[in-house]
Amino acid sequence: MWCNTQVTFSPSPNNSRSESELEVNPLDPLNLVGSSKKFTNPATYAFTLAAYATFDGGESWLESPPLQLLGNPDPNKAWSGISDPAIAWDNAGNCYLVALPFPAASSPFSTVGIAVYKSSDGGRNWSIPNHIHTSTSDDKQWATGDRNRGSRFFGNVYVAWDDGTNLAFARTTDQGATWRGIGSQPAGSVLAADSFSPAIAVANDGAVYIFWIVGRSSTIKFVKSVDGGNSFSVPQVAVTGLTNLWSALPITGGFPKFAGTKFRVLTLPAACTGSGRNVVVAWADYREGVSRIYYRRSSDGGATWIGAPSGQPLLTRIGVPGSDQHDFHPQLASTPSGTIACSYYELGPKWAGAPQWINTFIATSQNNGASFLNVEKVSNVPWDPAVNAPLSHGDPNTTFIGEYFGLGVSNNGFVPFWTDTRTGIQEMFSGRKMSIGPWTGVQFEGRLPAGSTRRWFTFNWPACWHVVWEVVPITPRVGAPQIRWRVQVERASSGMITYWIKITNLTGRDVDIEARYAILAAD
Amino acid sequence: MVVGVQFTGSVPGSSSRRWFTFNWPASWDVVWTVVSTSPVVGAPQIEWDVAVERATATTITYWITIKNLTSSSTNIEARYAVMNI
Repeated sequence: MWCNTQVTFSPSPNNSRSESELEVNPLDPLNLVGSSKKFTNPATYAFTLAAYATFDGGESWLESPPLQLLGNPDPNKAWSGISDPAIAWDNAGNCYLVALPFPAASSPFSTVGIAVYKSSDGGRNWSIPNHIHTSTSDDKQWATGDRNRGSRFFGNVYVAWDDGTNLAFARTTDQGATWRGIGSQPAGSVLAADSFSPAIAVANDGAVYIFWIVGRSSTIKFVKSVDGGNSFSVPQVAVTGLTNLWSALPITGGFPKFAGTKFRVLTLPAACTGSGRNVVVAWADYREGVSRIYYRRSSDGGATWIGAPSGQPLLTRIGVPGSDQHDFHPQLASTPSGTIACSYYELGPKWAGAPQWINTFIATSQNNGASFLNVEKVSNVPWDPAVNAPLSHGDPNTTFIGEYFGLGVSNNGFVPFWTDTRTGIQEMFSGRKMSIGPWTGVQFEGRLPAGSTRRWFTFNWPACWHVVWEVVPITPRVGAPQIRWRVQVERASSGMITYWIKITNLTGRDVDIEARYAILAAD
Repeated sequence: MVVGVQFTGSVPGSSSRRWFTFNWPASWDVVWTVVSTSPVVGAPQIEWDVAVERATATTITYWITIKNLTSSSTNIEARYAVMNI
């Protein structure tokens, strides 16, 4: 059982949100920062990024003030929004939101570079953007910090992106004061020439791995740095022979789509490291005639790769979906102690004849990715991807639910961060694993005058807790019922509930009562 | 014990809505709770009643009536706990 916390409460259905990232402050596991697209006009694909923060491990969230956009003397390069959120932390509690600024739709350019926003207060507020690269071919950036205290490069933040088909790279080693590429090159060093959608993973020893899929092909490559991003290996192949969604699904409106759906879906790599020199890369694969998560791993820092060159299915014995379900949008993360998790969406009918809805799942491995034998459904209810979905670039036949979603991690556990339409709006939700109780106690005692009704309230109960209330008289009197009660609920905030216990004395005498709680499940 | 969320929905202001959920094994001891998921501070927003239908010898249908105590629409989440499995 996972607690589902609604992160955003959009004032308008125009504020659809999707394509999210989430990272935990390495200095404070209760401080998480997330980001997603936030639309202003879903019909025209008008959006920018919004940022969110929690300081209690995800029970309650705030939305940061709007992220600033930059003007430009060239109106074709003035920012109208930012896209593709990526987040990383350094070793001093600074958080970086790496964004993709883009100009107005009337511009001949799709994007105008890579921008970095910095927050030094846990994600409450953000700096003006640092425009670290200015190519109009930039796209699909990713960012990761070296979170490992034992690493020589603890606190470095690495960014990789596509500049056209080039794999571009930047890093900061001085908490965001400067950004440069390899050696003393400016930000944007080219590490490879055939990149699409890079993903970065940093190992406990500080080794940096950047994976990418070669265009729309069947190959995933990587480069590796063992000197804090000062230099990288030549590109090497990690996976060959995968079945890319681009090659397997019908292409309409310029994007692959699952049968019976309108949202665009891609094969993009996700990567993480485990303990020691273990490295894992995962992707959505269509070789089985349905989309499945496949992965490949190395236990020697990428020197060799285990198993079939085309990878292996994530789910083999536990959690294997039915043939009418598609698994896609994998995201990988690992705890400092080495547990590896892969979160993903599962699309399909949830009962016979039902429409295709989505649940969020998480599969974990305790053996550095050799197997993923613990599979849990994170979302409490499935959501309909057709609800409140923006039109991709205004195309009425192509909708948008994001091309990835977030997965934060600390020693406190994994926190998926996904889009969900259960409220009728694309909102952001976060998940935390719950424990089963019960934990019981007496919350209050009181006295009810004869024939009266009184109401008590008790507040600051975490909204995810499953709480049952009962009231008993403690004044003995045989022969007839003495009291009855009713529970009323106030959602006082996104993360807290106030319970109101309304108690009626059914007798002609005063009755003392005791209100008892049982917490059936808690996070 | 197993806990979960059976359904989510919305109740218009100052009204009641009834949901049903069926095919629950009659041998299960099931407790139902409902919470609001629309934050509004200051006063209770919802209350609920559970009615029970023995649909077959072995299955139960639960009918959950949720009353919105406010004048604004409120989103709700209905939770179950099966106490004896």
